[in-house]
Amino acid sequence: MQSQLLRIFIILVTLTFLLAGSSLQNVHAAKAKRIGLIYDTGGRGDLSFCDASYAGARKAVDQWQLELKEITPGQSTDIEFALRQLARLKYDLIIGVGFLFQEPMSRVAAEFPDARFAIVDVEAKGQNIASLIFKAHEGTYLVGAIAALKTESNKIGFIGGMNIPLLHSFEAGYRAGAKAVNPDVEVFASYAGVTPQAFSDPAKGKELALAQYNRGADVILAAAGATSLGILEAAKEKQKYIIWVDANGNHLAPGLVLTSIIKGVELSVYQMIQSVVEGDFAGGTKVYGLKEGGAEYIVDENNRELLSEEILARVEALKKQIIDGEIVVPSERE
Amino acid sequence: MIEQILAATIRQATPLLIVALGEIISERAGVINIGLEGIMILGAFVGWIGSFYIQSASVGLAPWMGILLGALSGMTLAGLFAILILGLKADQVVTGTGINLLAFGVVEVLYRRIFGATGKALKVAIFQPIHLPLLSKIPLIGPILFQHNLLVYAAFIAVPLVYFYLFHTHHGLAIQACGEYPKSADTVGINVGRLQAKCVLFGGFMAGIAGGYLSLADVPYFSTEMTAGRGFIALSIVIFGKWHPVKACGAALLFGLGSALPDRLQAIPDLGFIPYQFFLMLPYVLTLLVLAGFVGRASPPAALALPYRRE
Repeated sequence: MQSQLLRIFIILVTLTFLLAGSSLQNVHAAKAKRIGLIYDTGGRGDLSFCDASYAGARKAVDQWQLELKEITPGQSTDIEFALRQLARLKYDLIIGVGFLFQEPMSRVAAEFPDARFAIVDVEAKGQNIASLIFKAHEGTYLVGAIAALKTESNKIGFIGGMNIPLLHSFEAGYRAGAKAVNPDVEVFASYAGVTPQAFSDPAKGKELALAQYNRGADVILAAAGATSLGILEAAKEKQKYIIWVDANGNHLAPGLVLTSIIKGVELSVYQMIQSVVEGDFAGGTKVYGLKEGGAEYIVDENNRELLSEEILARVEALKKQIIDGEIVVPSERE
Repeated sequence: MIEQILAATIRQATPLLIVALGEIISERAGVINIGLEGIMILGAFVGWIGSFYIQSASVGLAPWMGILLGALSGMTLAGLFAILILGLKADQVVTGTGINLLAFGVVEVLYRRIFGATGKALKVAIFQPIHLPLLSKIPLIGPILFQHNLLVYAAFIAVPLVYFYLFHTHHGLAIQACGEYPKSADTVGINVGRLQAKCVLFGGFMAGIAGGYLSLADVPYFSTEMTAGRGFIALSIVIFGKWHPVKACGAALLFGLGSALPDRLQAIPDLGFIPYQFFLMLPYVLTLLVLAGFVGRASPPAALALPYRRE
């Protein structure tokens, strides 16, 4: 009796996991080209890569009447399974979002040489894999300049999620951009932690941001996933500026969100699908910098009044110099 | 600077303290609940979602109803735990781990089902800081102690209450008897199982409130991993505080400081030569030292985690 109930409990726990895990259903054959989009374990609603990839895919799918299959793996171990499953079902393009796909995709791509794969934000080995890479530091360079032109205290901040090289490149670009227009500016940099949890701890983000605002910073670049929500909260409390990353967050706090810097994830995924539709898919690395539309700062009705003509003119000039190759933005911290 | 660090210490210590107070009662009664982390995330989620739906009716009432729902959800999950370990005598540590997995799974599924794909940062009505009249004006002490939200004040007021209850009331002593020597408690007519169940429910109630604190007092947002290990830290606070509410309060403040200090130090470029990970590590090192017996001796209730069977 007792052990039976315990068994039921264990089954319930297992079921929950399965529910949380990947679900493959409604895979039906159709004439239209089929696109598989597999997310990071975070999935949609991250206001970042996953949402942007979806937006790009959605646009292409609507435009050419394709069939889209989305999968959110419950855990990183499910990723390889999902990739193999779609490859076996002969999907026309299989897109993986995020660095977790790097190794599994290389393995699966080697097993299915006829399948076509694309990976977002990291390079993966394989002749049938297209790697979509972004020069995020070129984007943060521009907003670093905006922050340094806007600051009144001559102190600006940077808050990253997990302490990893990708975010160091964000910081490096931000610093370089700020110093380029305002050599006297002081840049504070904090990271929320050293584990992936650092991307999902809003309480931590708020404390880090309060610390920087209290030290005199009046603009903070928030590059910390869901942790950024806490930074936003601190900005509201202190009525100081914040710069959003990876999605348009200008509407989150009009008057306080100075601008948002987005990577060209949407564009890159769209173009990737386009290449499959038009039959000119090619593997290899595709780099999206400012030049290729791989990074963009957003000016809309929510922040237009915050950015003066002079600031915009200055930043546009920098942008042009980067595109022309006159400025090379560092991707590593000094 | 100092007052900011100390005010942040109190803010960050509060959720830890709330969970720890509940767990002290539970462990004093002989039950260790490893599932606090899971109960917290459930409390954070239910509290947040409660406030989200209630705020359209009443913004002022929303966080209150939210925190109440969060606490009740924590109590419900603790009830399941109690049935398994007290009713069925399942192993407490293994069951507690199961509770964690269950809670994170359920919350993840529900969150995705309800909000997952909206791609929006949804805000809820939360508790606002209350500056206590006069007291908050005192230089230095005012900003540190008297400019917090209501849950912070409640948590620290609860410390002496729990202390008094545990050591100076009939009930409190009965609880301790259950944790030290359940057999003798039974012989003097205490219903051990029922009392332990009540203590576990109280622990779940408190963990639910602490979860709600994260999503209804710190920030108005929810993220599916926002507890970030705080339930486990609370467990070590109980040990560090030697199962004593006042000492645990000190331990919670120490852990709060261990979190607030590196947050601030990172913003000081000149201190870059000390890796901030060093400060992140400090509280855990202290806990290990306590467990290893280097910093005083920690002796848990004698019958902790042992199921009691009547002969």
